[in-house]
Parts: sequence; C-alpha cells; structure tokens
Amino acid sequence: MKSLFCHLILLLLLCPFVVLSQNNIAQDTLQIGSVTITHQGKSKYIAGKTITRISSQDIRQSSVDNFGEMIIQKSAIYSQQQGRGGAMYLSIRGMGRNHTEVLWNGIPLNSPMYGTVDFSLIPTNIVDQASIYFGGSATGYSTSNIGGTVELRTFPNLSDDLRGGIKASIGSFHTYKTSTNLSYKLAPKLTASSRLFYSSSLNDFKFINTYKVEPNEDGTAWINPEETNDQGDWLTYGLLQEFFYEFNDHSRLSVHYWGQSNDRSIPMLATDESNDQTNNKENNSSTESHRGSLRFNSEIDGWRLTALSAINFEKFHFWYKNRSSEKRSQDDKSSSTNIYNRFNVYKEINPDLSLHLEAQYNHMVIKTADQIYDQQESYKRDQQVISAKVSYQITPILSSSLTLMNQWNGGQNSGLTPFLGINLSILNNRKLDLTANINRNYRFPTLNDMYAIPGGNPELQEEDGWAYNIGAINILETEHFTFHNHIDYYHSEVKNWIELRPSEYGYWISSNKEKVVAYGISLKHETIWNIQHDFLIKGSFDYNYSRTLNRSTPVNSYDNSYNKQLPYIPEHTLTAGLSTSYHRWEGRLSWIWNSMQYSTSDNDTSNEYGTIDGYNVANLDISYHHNLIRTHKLIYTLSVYNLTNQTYESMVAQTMPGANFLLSINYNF
Amino acid sequence: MAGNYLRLIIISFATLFISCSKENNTSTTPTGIYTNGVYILNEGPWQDPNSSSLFFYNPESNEVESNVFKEVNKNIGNDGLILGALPQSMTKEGDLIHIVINEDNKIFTINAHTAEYLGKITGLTSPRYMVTTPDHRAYVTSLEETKISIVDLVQEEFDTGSVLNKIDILNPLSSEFKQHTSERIIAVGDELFTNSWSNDNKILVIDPNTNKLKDSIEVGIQPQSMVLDKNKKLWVLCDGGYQTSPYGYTNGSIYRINTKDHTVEWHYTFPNTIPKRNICINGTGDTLYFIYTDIYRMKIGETEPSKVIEVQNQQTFYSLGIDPKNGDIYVGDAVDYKQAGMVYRFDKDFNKIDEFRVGILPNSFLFNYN
Repeated sequence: MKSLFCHLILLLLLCPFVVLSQNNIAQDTLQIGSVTITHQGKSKYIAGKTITRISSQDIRQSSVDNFGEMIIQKSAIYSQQQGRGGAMYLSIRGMGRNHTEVLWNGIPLNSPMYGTVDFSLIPTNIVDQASIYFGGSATGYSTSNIGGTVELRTFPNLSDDLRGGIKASIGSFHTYKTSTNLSYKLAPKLTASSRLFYSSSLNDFKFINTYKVEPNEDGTAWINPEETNDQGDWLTYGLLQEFFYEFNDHSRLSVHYWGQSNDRSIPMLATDESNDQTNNKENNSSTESHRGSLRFNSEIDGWRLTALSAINFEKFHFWYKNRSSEKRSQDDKSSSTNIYNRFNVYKEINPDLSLHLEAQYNHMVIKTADQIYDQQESYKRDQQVISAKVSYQITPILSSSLTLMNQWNGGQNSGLTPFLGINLSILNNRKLDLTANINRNYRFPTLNDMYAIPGGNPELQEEDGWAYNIGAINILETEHFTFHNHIDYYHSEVKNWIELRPSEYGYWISSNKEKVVAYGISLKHETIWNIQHDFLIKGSFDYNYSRTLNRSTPVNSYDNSYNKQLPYIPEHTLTAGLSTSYHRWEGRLSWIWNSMQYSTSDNDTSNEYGTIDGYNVANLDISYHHNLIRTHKLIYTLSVYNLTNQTYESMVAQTMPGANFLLSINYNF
Repeated sequence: MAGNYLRLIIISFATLFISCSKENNTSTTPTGIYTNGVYILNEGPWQDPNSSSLFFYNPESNEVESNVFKEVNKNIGNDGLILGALPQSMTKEGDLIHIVINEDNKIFTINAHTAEYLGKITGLTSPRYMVTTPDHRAYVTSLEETKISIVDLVQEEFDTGSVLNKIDILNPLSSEFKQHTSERIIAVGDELFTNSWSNDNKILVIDPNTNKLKDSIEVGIQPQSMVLDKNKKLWVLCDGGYQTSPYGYTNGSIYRINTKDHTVEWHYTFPNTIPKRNICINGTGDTLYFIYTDIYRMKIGETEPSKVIEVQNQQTFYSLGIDPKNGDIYVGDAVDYKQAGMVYRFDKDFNKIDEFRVGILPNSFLFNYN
C-alpha cells in the first residue's frame, strides 16, 4: 500500500511536465535502438570475433524487469528462470549456465563459489552498453571463455549540463518500479553520475494449477484448483554512484560504487503440496552486494594505460521453514569478498599493428555458514592472469587478432590459452566479410565444485578443449533499406565437463564428464526500412541451432546417452523483433521461442516422459514521446508481457503468468 | 484412541523388491490389472516432477508396463495427473498403496489393483517412509524436520487425508547438528523404531501410546536402513558417513538390536568406506541382502556378509528388493543417474533370469501379491 501511494505521488509529480509541452519545439525524429547489432568484423581489433552489442538507447527505452530479460529479447540466448522475478541464468550456444562470464566495468560478477550469475539481479539502470562476446571472442579480457562473455559498461556524461531522468512504472501483480539518473558537474574537471533504482512486486498472479487436483464441491470429480502465486514476491533497491576526474585530455580517474539489496521469496514447484492452512512453507533468499572500483586511464607517448582496482563484496542468505514451525529447516549464509586488480597497456605501433598487454591479480575469499548445523567454512583462492593481444591489418582486406593468455588459479597453471581470429573482406566494396577463429576452451572448477559439503570433489579436473567458428557477415545498403546478415557455424569441444549428479552416497556430487561436443549454427538478420525522415521500421531475428552432445564413454552397455543432447538444453532458440517509429509514436514487438528440451541423458521419449515442452512468448511496448521545452521530454510506455496469454514454463513446474502489463512514465532532460 | 495404538501391528511398507523383464516387453497401454506383480518406483531427477514414474512388472509373463500412474490417471483434471517430484517409497495397506512423494511433501494413495488415484495427504515436510496402523492411520518420517507426523490415511476415492499430530523427536543435547530426523520406520509390538540417518548414530524408539520419544540406541555413524528379522531382531545398516562430513566418517557397519530390551547384541564393521545402502530381508525373515557396490548376503546366523552378485560392466546398483514369495532378487541400476534405469532379476541362486528397462532412478519395489 505504501509503495502504491509513493508511486501515485510520483506519477502526479510528473504530470505537470505535460503542461509544459504546449510550447514544445519542433518535432524530432525518434531514434529507435538497434534491435540487434552484429558487430562487423572489419576492424583488426575484433577480427574473427562474434559480438552482439545492445545500445544505450535500447537499454534506456526498455521496461523489462532485469538485464537478463533484455539480453534474451535481443539475442538468441537460452534462459532458465525460476518463475517471474526468480533467479535467471543464461546459456550461450548450448553451453552451461556457468560457462557465461559477466563483467561489469571490468569487474567479474560470477560467483567464485558457484561460477554463475543470476541475471535477474542486474537492473537495466546500471548499464549503458552491453556487448555479448560469443565463444572465445573475449579471451584475454575474460578468463572463462567457453560459452561466452557478457560485458556491461557505464559511460560518463562529460557535458557541462545537468542531464538525467526519472522513470516510474506501475504494473500487474502489484509491481512498482522507479529509477532515476543524474549526471552533473561538481567542478571544472570533476563530474558525477548518480543512479537510484527500486523495484518491488507481490507477484501474486493467479493460475490454474494443472499439476494438482482437488475434489469438486460434490466430491464426485477431480478438478485443477485456481491458485495464487504466494511465493515469488521481490524487493530490490540500490544505487550507483560514479565520479570522473579529468586530469587533462589524456588522463582520467574514476570511482564507481554499486550497492544493491534484494529480498525475494522463491517459488515452490507447482506440484508441491506442503501448502495447506496449517503448514505453509516460506522459501526465501536475500542478497546484498557492494561493488566498488577505482579506475585510472592515461595516455603517455602513445601508450594507453589502464589500471583498475575493484572489490566485489556479496552476502547471500537463503532459508526456508514451515510457517507453523518456529524454527527454520534450512538457513544458509555465505559471503564473498573478491578483490580484482587489472593493469593493461595498449600501443598503436603503426596504423596496421597494435599491441595490448594485460596482467591481473585477483584474490577471493568465500565464507559459508549453515545456521542449522552451526557449521562454518572458509575458502580462499588467488588468481593471476597475463595476456597479450596483437591486432594486425595484414592487407587492406585481411586482418587478424591473436591473443595469448595464461592463468593460475590457486597455484594451478592453465597453460597457454590462445585465440586467433581472422577477417577477410572478399568483395571490393567490403560488403561481405568472411570470419574465422579458433581458441582453446578452459575453465577451473568453482570452489563449490571442489569443496562443497557434501558433494565437493577436490579431484576434479579442469574443463579443457578447443573451439572454432567460421562465419560470414554481409551488409547491404540502399537509399531506404539496410540489410545486415550474419551467419556462424561453431564447434566447441570440452573435455572433463563438470556436472552435478546424484550419487550412491545419497547426495549430489561434482564429477567430470569425459567429453562434450557442442556445435551449431547462428543466424542473425536485421532489416531497417527508412520510409521517410520520421518513419522507420526495423525487423530482426536471431536464431541459434545448438547440438550439445555427450561424447563420453558409456557407463555400461545399458547407457544410451552417447551422442545424445545434454538434458535441459534446447536445440532451437529464436528471438525476433519488429520495431517502428512514426512521428512521436514508437512500437516494439519481441518474440522469443525455445524448443523442447530433453530431461534425460538418453533422450528417450518412448515412456511419455523425458521432455520439457518448448514455449514461445511475445512482448509489446508502445511509447509516445512528448517533447517539452528544450531537451526536456516525457515518454509514456505501455508494455504488455506475454501478449498472447500463453501458458508456459521456463523451468519445469515453475508457472509463469499470463498476459500482464506495465505502464511507465519516463521524464528525461 | 490409545488402545488403538496398543494394537499397532506391523504393516511395514518397506521395500520388497524384485524386478525384471526385457525392453521389448515394455508396454505403455494400461492393462488396469496390477496384481501379482511388482511395482517399481522411479524417483526421477531433482526438481523435475514430470520425469518420475511408476512401472509394473509381471514376473510370470516378464512383461513390463511403463508409466502406469500417468497412463491410468490421464483423464484426471485438465491434463491428467503426474506422480510428482521425488517419490520416495511405497507402502501397501490392504487394497491401497500409499506413495510417499518426498519433494512435493505429500502422499498419494492409489488402488493397489488398478493404480487409480484415490486421494492425497498434504501438509507434510520432506516425508520419506511410513508405517500404517489398523485404524487407517500412519506414522510418517521426515528428512527435514525432527518430528514424526501422524496422519489420517486416504481410504476411498475423492478422499483427502490430513496431518493429525506430530511427535517431537528432537535431540536437545545436540547443538552442533540437527538431530534427530528420521528415515525408515518399523513397528514392533507396541513400539516404533526409526533410524536417524542424517548426521546421527541413533535408532529412536517411540511410544505410540504417549506419542513421545521413549529411548534411543547408539549404533554406527549414519544408520541408513533397517529391517526386522523373523526373531523380531532389528538389523541396521550404517553407511559410515561421507569423506568431508563434519559429523565423522567411518567404514560403516551392521548392527543387530534386541527390540525387547533395546540393546545392541552384535555388530560388524566393514573393512572399507565403500558406500553401503538398502538392507533388505527375504520373505522368511532369515537372510539379509544389501548393496555394497555389489550385492552382499548374510544369513542372520552368520557373522560376515558374502558377495553374491557382482557388478559387471560398470553397473551402478541403486536399489534392491527381495520377492517374499520366491526369494528372487531385484536390483535397480541407475546407469548414469540421468536416463532410464535398468532392473535385473536374479533367482535365489543368483542366476540372472531377466532384465528390463524402467524409469529414471528406480529406488524401490513393492511386491503386490493377493
């Protein structure tokens, strides 16, 4: 109720700006964000690499709940989400959830304990630009390069003017969101940026639970009950504060702090029947994170230097209990304190040749506490990384990029991890490029893989193997049309694939799977139709076909899992988008489809189990831009999620809501 | 009420096991007749209620019927009814079978002869095993809470059971570990015996007349399973814990307990830490079997177990059942823990007489004879 009141007040405060619009200046043509930008590989720096960028404009205009949802709307990346607002993990090109590394302003967000990143905890408000590096494209910058790397960045606004905005949203299921951002100059050489964000939802949607049956009133038939989702509420708030000090045109010192708090309850399986009037379960998690960094950039005699020192402190608390019980059944706390230090230098030796050197020293400390059993554990790990990258424009049409990386984790040496990419422009007008790359896959086991109690396996081997990618990029431009096409074939081999499996001990253990091979095709297309100066239509799709096959020696003659798709990884993932802007109106339609998944390693479907249905879901945003005086602008957006009211699940028995909406007002200046 | 409990009779649920049949004898068409055969419960993967299943095997014809529960009950509700997440055990009570579904915190009741769904008991916490009473009640153990639930059982279609009461079995003396949870449960005379498996070394004795914890008997680390022999002696298999356990890690052991005076009469310590699980007993109550990578047997008068069925071809023995009628031995193989498992059937002389594919992680057998 308090949240609703606050939001109504905020909406009322924004309304007066509408009045100002009567004298607004001439209309402007709306710039809708690029639906998906597949990075052209002509630059020697990115030769052979496959990169998708999400523009700042897309991010600003988005009304999704978190950055994970933003990514899956822009790229064919498979997500697993534990219900609306629940934990969300992304898998790139058929790889596992812990094969996706995430960097925010150079700080790794992956938990050293689990190796994963929960994308539902990354608000869109703290990102200005995102880049998705597929496969080993980020080798050297990123240390885990098997699936891909998501790089999130913020940028300073160095203008003299006060810039900013405020956004308030209200939506279905008692959902309220507010965010603000301000960029301002504190002194001639000192600018600052402040961002606040708040999001909450009771998430109390109703659904017919087809997993359960109850007797009807007459006691003569079984019916599926209508239920209210009573687990899944969330509360997230935080701030991002940045300071930028310009010593001169070539040197800058910046300080960044991102603090965030999250509380949410975790949905139970829809089959769970612990719920009745006397025995209801509470299943909750809370996280608190403080991430700070100090970055220094300078250019001296053509050498660009960057030094980054950062700390990422996270606290996690998970518990559940019966509401009828005074005591919790499970109560786990953990904290991680990770210190990152990066130093890199870049030199443009000549227009065709550049050199990039980097060194990292990272220190990680994890503490866990089981409150029920009163058990505490502590783990430490040091990591050192060195890398060298040479980018070379061999001929006007042929460029290459070579990266050599070596890392040490807890004293263990990875050996050399190379990446080699080339780019060949085969048409004179450079409208068609062929790309290729090859790299070594490598990943150390996480601390949880090795030391969890029970189930940790200190004898685990590192994941290792080779990957290659070949592709073609084509851009066609006419007076009114731009076509952008990108096709990739990728192949990746991972020996000693790390997985959790049940065991004869009665608990799950980490173990190595001898070999997994993933290959597939990625197709990206974008068409931009510039009908007139204020009328634009863009259409895009991004399709990924991925086969992730177990190539391990069968356990025994009854093991039918050889050469079969790994469970819970779909073969087909597609995201498509259509956006248009006309005058002050803007519309964005996105559609996501994930194909059926197998739930068994033998892919057997003969017994009417062993598969998880695929699903598709469409979302629609309609915005109206209202120009006020000078640069002041109001944007009204109505977002409809699950437009076609599909009944679907991202994870088994984790019900998602039907059609729902969010109304947003965004004031920018 | 108390009188009823005094007349408590063992209607053990436990796990009577057997299995066999060949892959090409598997059928998904429900016959609707599931008597004189073996129900096989397959727990499926964690957090995947779609992939658990109930199979039925006919030892006479060697035919297997797959996914019996789902097939028989496919017209219930809008989309049919599935078994749910991590079904753990089956207990027969007359013409009824109660299926304890651990992760879903419920018990489904089916008709033992037709597998038709009759009703459910909800509001439980991590239920594992149960023992029934003549007045249609049951004591249900829990892996999570330190309580035994007393439930009112489903008896007919459209019935729903409920939790009537709970017996507190918390060990107030242990601050370091949450003791005692409970696993198997067996009624002997007017007492209930349950093994506290997780981070514990106790067999607990409960008085059903007072609903109080009456006594505890110290055994080896982590008593994993137990059975009652023909002399009313309790045999307990202790797995010894695991390597990184803060509670301790030993070689594992077998204990024989006198149920009258609650004393340990005999115990045997294994020579190594290889996992042991699922102690079973034959129909005449004089021969024990258990999984110790291979299958081991020990007659109740013997002092050392002996290997009777050896793992071949990297099999992963996961479950075990002994046909009370003819002594056939049914062994469930988890294969890689993520695909359809196997069941091997051996005769009492340990000759393999059949094998057949079942669901994911076959964890228990129920011999459904008239």
